[in-house]
Amino acid sequence: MKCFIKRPLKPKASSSETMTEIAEQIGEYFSADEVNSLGYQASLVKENNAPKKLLSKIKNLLEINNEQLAPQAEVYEINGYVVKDQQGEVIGYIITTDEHYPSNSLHDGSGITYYLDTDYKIVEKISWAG
Amino acid sequence: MLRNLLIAISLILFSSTSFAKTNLPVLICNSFAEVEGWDGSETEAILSYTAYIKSSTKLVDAVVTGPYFSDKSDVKVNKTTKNYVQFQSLEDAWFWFDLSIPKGFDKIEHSFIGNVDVHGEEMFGSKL
Repeated sequence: MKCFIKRPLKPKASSSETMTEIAEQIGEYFSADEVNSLGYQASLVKENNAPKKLLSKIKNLLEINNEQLAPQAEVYEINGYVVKDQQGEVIGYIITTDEHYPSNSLHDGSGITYYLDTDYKIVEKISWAG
Repeated sequence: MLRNLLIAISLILFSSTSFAKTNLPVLICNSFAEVEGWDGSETEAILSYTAYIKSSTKLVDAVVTGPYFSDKSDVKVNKTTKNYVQFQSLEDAWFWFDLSIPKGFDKIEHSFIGNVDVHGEEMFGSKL
């Protein structure tokens, strides 16, 4: 069994501290279930129910990543999550990208997970592959 | 009058201890995969063992959930090996559950491996 200890956060723990802690606990491979197992709730957003600023950040990161990956690759999937604590209060956001390398499928199955605080500032950026 | 006073004191003590527990660290152990249910059938549930950590030798409100639902109870270390401590059993109607985790687990900052031995009546136990 995988065990961990969830310690009470300091009363003044900020959104960025909490999101950083979540990122460190999750490590390379993000999944909403992993976030939920830490005692938070990560909900996948859709275009019609995403907070406008989150949607804007998703589009912005999509453009930036596609510019950086071109011409070898592109982002073929990008997702946004709202993260809430046990009281239902929003503590931050997560954006994940999945990259596609048309001419080199060995690199398929890689991307970046961004952890954002409630001000939509990126506090952690973790690349994943494999 | 005295009875009402005693009830009030009991309620205050209960609420203060309940509140105190929420400030304790929480131990969460999840099985790596879904496990079989009590009748051996497949489930879609992982087994979770959760408890408040009172000290390195005592867990409070320990409970097993998922495919099993144990009683919630406080457990103490009842066996120590070179590297592990084993806590007293949790029980449901037909099974009991023994948690073994590394010594000094309460100081570990990263995730770690633990074991829950599931023992059932009239069947062999399994280690998760």
